[in-house]
Amino acid sequence: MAELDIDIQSFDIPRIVSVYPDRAGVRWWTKAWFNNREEGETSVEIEREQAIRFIHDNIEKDEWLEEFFPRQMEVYHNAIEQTKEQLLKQINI
Amino acid sequence: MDGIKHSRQFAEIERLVSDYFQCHLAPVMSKTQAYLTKKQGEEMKEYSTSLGGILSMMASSAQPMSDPYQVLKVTGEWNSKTTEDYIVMCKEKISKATDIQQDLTYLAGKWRDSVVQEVGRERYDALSEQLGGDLAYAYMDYRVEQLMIDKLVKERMPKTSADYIIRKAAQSSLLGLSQTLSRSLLAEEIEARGEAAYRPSKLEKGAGHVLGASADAVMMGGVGSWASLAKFIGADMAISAIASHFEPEKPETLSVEQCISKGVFGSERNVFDGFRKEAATIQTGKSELITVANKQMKKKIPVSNFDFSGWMHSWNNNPFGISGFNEKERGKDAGYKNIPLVVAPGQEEAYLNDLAKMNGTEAKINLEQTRPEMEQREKVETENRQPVISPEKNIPGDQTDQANTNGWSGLLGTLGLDGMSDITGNLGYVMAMLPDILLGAFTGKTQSLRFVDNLLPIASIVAGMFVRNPLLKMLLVGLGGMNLLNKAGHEALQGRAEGKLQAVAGNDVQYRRYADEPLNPRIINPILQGSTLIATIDRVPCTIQLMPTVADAYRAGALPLNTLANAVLAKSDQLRRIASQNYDDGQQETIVRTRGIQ
Repeated sequence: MAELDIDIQSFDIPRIVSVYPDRAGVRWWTKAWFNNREEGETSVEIEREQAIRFIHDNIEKDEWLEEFFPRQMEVYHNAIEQTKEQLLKQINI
Repeated sequence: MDGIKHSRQFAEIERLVSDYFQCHLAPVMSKTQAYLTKKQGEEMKEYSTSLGGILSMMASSAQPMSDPYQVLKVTGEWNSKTTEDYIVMCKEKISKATDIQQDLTYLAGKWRDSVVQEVGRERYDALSEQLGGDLAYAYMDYRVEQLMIDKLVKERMPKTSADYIIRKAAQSSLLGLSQTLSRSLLAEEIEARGEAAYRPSKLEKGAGHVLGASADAVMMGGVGSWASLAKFIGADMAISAIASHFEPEKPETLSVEQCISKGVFGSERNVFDGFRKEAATIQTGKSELITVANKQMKKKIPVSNFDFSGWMHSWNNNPFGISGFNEKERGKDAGYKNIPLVVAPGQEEAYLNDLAKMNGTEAKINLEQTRPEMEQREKVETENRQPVISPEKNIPGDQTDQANTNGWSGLLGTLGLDGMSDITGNLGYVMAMLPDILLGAFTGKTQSLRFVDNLLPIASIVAGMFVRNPLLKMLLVGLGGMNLLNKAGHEALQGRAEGKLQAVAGNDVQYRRYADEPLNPRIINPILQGSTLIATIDRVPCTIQLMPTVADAYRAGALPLNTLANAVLAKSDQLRRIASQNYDDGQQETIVRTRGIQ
């Protein structure tokens, strides 16, 4: 196993997530960009504490996305599964 | 079989009836048909030369579509005969043959005895009473009729037509038993209704072996019927079977066999199918009932003791009766495989010992030693997973070294034809490779056909070309050619053996066995397909291309999937660490340079 030679390639879908406040720093929102789309998903208003947790990196990115963008994450999971099946089919051929 | 105590007996009777029909009744049908055809031919010939025939032909020549024998087909004694007439002729012949009648009665008696043994005399009599006649005769009549229908069907007559014609033509029983019974008014009516219901010109509904009124009336002379028997045993379906002729939407049918199955054996399904299946496997010579019955019958059936399946089995095991032909007989020990056939079974050890003494080594010890060595080799863990070719692998050609010797080998060897059996055994391959070998003789690739090594066979062929005696010519050319073919063939076979060896070497790889590890939680759902591992590592779905040997090891069962996935993760981390290290190094360099510029 010491000489294991591997070639790893990811087929993940890019996901970017961020938080931002209003000018007064009272209201906070989170915004996500799936699959490198420029317009991004509609922002979701969050609590200040949640924003702080995110900034301090106390929560996993996917966990955050699952919480505030559940529909998009479902589509994401389906797409990954579909890709996996297509890959398996290709290898079988 | 469904709790039937004497199923074997019934199966034997089925076999007996079937054989009897094939041997004595079917030929009557064939002979009658041949006789009819002959008579029709003669009549046609006579008609063609008669004045009426000539005139008819002249008249029809003017009308292309008309048949010149139209008149003959209507008025001729033989040409006007229909299939119904043919059946009547068959029936007459069978009825007239007293020996056949006696045999059929005897068979019916046997069947009756079996039924009485099965259900008791009282029940049998009750069933017969409801039927309006003897159940055994009725069944035998029905069975023979079915066999006749089957024969007609085999001769390409549609089944329903055969069924109809036989029942219509055979107005009285084939056994001639019901002739003595009077026909009741009810039976007449039933028969008429059955006839009307059949409507042979239209779509035949509920056709086949239905328990129809016409069949009842025909067979039983109208006194009783299968329908009444069916009613007696509680199968009301029989009644509706008659009605079903008029209601095509409800083709509810109950065959005579089903009727007997229920009445006699109390079975809901047709037990006769089972009897017939069993009958097909009966060896007539070994059946006491068939042997005894055959002695009693006027017309015998051929009884054979020969067990073909048993013979086939023994033939497959030992085609030429050579003792020790079978591998099992000779022992499965691989050490015995090179022992010539001439060594008597059981003397293999002695032969090996003698051989060992002659060679100055203990063959037996070698045999025992090779196994532990092989086992040890298997246990050795090849850390670098390099393919290991087991050295004990025999090259196919090598086995011929210790070939079975016989008296011809010396002579063949002298003529340069030793190992000729290898060539004849692989003649197809040798012939296919011959062009390649011949071409190689010119290019120098073929080593065995070099001119200097083959002076004698070439001289033999050349001499054969100039000799006038045909026998000598054939011998010289033939032997020379065979010699060259033998050499070329062996080279071709050697090439194939080497090719196979390489292929075997590629497959026969021994891998180090790895223990199964628990899957690292960072990896989710790993799947290995071909040489590609698909998994989600650190929430990132990815494909990992592996070396084919690794995939082979997994398929060979040496490398569990979890262990492999963990190793891949470790490798990935290691690569990442190196990349990270390289990045850090590059970063430091940049900083230093920046400072240098400052």
